[in-house]
Amino acid sequence: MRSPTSLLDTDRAHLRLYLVLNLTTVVGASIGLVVLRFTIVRSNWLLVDAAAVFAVAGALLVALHLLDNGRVGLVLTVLTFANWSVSVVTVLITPFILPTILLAVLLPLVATLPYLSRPRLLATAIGAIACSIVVAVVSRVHLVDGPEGIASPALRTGILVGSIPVVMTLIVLNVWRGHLGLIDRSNELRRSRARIAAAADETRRRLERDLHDGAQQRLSAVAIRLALARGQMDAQPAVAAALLAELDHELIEAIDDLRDLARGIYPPLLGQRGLGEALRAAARRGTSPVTVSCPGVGRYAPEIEAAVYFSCLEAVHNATKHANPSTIEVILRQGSRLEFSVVDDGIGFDPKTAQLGSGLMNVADRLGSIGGELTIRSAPGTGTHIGGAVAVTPLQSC
Amino acid sequence: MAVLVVDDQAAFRRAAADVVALTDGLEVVAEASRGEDAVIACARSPIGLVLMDVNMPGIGGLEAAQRIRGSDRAVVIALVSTYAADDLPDDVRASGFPYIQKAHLSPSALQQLLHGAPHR
Repeated sequence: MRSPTSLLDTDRAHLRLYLVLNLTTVVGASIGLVVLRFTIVRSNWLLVDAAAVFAVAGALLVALHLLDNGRVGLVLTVLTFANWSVSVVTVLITPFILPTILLAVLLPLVATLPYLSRPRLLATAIGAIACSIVVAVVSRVHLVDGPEGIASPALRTGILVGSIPVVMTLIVLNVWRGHLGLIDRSNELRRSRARIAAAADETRRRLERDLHDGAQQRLSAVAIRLALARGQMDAQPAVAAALLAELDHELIEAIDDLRDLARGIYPPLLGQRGLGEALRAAARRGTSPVTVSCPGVGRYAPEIEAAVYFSCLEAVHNATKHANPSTIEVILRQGSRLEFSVVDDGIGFDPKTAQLGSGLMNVADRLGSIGGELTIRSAPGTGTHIGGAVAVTPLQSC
Repeated sequence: MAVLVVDDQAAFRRAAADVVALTDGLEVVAEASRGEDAVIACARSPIGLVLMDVNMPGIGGLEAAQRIRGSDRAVVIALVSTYAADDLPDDVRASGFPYIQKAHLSPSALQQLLHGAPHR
């Protein structure tokens, strides 16, 4: 079963590939400009252009480093700024390259499209239009006495014919990548909905089974004994009394069964007092030592509290069942997002090779349905950190 | 008459044993929590009446009842469950075994069963 977090990893892998391709192209262009300067077109402006293009290579290296640290937003900003800056510089020095540059101005938009929120997409689109106007104007102004007068028409044509397909290929690759990404996301969304529906059905089946095997059986036994007691009241009152005495135990066990079931469906403390108290109560009932800490965590919409509560519970259950921990910590934090972490000191596992179980898959789907995300960090022998974050703020503080 | 109570729920086995104890002529001689164990118990000693839960792990109550009937046509086997008769699976309804809903188990129900009156 494919983990929902692997989709994010795929996006990042594609972005990394694009950055590396772009870096290769840029370094090649920079070297090409230097070679041109010392062979055919002896203008120092080409060295200036090469330096500007090489600076983009530096920016791309920074972007790769930021991507490895998960700073995707900053990667997109660096990419866009570097591309547009060098576009203006290049067309300033060599105005004939305008057709290629107009295509290159589109690159940040198509490359970052899968990662942009709507406001950022709008800003980037407006930026691309503005940059295209700027480069078009700059190409007509001839502020610099650059190498264009020196380069022959054949050379200029050759450079255009050579560079346009390269940039066009990068654009097409990005559009294709975006298309595949959309299909992937759509398929994953469909699979996620199916998993959520299946999980709900499984919960109902488990509920029916728990009711049947527990409370229903006990209450049937109570009904039998009551009928027997009623029948024996006159003839054998001692027997009737003995039968009635056994009813206490069966009724209390039936009540316990129903209370446990109700708690499993939606714990009363969660609705009445919120995440902190509900999780502490669940921790007290658990078999492993669990500590709960939730500074600054308030009250949230019921679906948010339920998703976070059951996610924490599933993570604790997972740790207890698989990790053999001596301690489990549940930590909730409210910053710009509501974040939770379940950390154990157990045996750990390799997330790259281990298959995500149905319980954690349900957690990922459930968090995804409220706009949240699940992260899993673990390694054999070093414990496990299961975390989640939801972009919400409290309705009220506790 | 010797009675075998077969149910994976201990609470019901205890309640059924109380009912049998208060029914004239009947005595619980064995209990089982699985259909397989019930088949073995019937093979080992003469049983007159079997109260067999329908839903059990393993071969289940219906399969166990059919195996016991295959070896001893004289034993009376009643299927029991918490489900209403209308909620029983088709094969249970069509099996020919009498059915008693657990909450209605009583000395009079057992007497009616043994004297041949249908009790569904």
